[in-house]
Amino acid sequence: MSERARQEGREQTSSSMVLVIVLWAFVLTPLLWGVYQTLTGVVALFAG
Amino acid sequence: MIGFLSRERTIAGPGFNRWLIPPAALMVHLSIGEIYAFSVFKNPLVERFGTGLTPIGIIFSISIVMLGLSAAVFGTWVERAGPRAAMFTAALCWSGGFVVAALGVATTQLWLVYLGYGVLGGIGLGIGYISPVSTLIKWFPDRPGLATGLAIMGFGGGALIASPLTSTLLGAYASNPVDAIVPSFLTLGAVYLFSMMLGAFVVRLPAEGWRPEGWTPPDEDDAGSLQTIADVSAGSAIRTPQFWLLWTVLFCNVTAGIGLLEQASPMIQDYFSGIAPAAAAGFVGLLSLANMAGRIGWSSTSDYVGRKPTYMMYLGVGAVLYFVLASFGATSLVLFLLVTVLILSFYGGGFATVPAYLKDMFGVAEVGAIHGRLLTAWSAAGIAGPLIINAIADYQTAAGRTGADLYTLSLFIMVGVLAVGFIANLLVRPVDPRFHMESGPEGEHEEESTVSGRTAGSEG
Repeated sequence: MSERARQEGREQTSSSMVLVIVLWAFVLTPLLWGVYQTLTGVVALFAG
Repeated sequence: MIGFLSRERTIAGPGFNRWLIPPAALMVHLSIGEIYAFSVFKNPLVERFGTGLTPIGIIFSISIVMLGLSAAVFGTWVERAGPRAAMFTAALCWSGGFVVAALGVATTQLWLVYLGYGVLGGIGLGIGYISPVSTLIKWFPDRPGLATGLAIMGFGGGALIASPLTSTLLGAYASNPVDAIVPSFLTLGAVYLFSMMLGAFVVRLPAEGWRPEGWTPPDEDDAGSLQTIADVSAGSAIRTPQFWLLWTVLFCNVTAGIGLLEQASPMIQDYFSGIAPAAAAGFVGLLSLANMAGRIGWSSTSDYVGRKPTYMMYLGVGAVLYFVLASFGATSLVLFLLVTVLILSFYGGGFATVPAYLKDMFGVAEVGAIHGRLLTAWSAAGIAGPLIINAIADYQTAAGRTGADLYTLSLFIMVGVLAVGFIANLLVRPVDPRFHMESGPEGEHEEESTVSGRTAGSEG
């Protein structure tokens, strides 16, 4: 494998990792917000 | 545009990171999971149309029935057309449903809301539910339970997002929530269109012959007794006893779970007189979290302990838990909470584990289409569960019973329902090889196999 091909492979892997992180953040952020909102309601069950 | 949506254009190139697929699937499932938050719109819709809860409740029922029907009818098309076209279609139907429903609200035409949110949105639900699931199974043959658990967790999580989001929108657009329904519908439609389209853009199918690094498919000798190494077409699958046993398993598991969910808020207040409505709402939230956690937790666990033992737990332990709830639930709030949380985690786990169970039994080639047909059990349970619980609660009220006694009989009936499911699961055996598709390039497939995801160059 040439040096150029190895370099392209590394770039593809790193950009793909960035994309993975961005997309996971896109879905997990609202989900965690929803979980937090629900948990604040659950507190009422134990506070009462 | 059609070329962009085609199955061939969604085949991943070398080096594609499969961990991009779960968020793509979640973009769809988090969006369509809004259906479980529909109750937030109920009171404003009742006021807007000047009608009762029943005609408004029908909107939700139509959506769920259409989910099961469209998943069954379009499942084969989803496999043939590929996930991008399916997710694109689901996005148009689901978001278009909001637009048509908004038109119905604006013109005070309830039938348009039925048509929009119910029929059109329901079709989007069905197609959107199955398309990412079958794609994930193809990308994660080594961990199908984890993969499907991730996506189907999103369906439960979607309600956790949509419920507070809808409340915020209804409060933000107008001082009276009734006047905020139309802009809220349109906003949600736009948000879900963007999210689902992004998912459709990202999704890819693995290339023919692709497998995870370092993973080798099980062969005849080391495969678990129920894991097939062959594929069964959707048309053949519904002719096997295994399909109908799994249909019964899902039906029983969902019926029991819905029975509890349906009555969660009044139930805890009847069991414990000191529980205020706000605390009861917190209990419903707790059950939603348990439902979501069960989807990812138990489904992932099934990758290690096997699908059949996992369902033994859902149904067997579930039956014991219902018995404990009926017999001793009123004695302690902590016991009541522990038992109900576990029951709801099994309910969620049952939804998330079934695609992996289907993959074990029928292979990956048409698992989406088979899953779609199996989801008719969900529609049937959605009718049976509330019917049983509500009819018995009415009967008990008429008989002068109060408190926990209102629910004892229906909880014991759920023990029986779960026992039926347990037996059905016990009877599951490997699929007879005569139902297997013929493999190999020269193999002459059955009629249905032309829609197989593995048929290179298939139309669509």
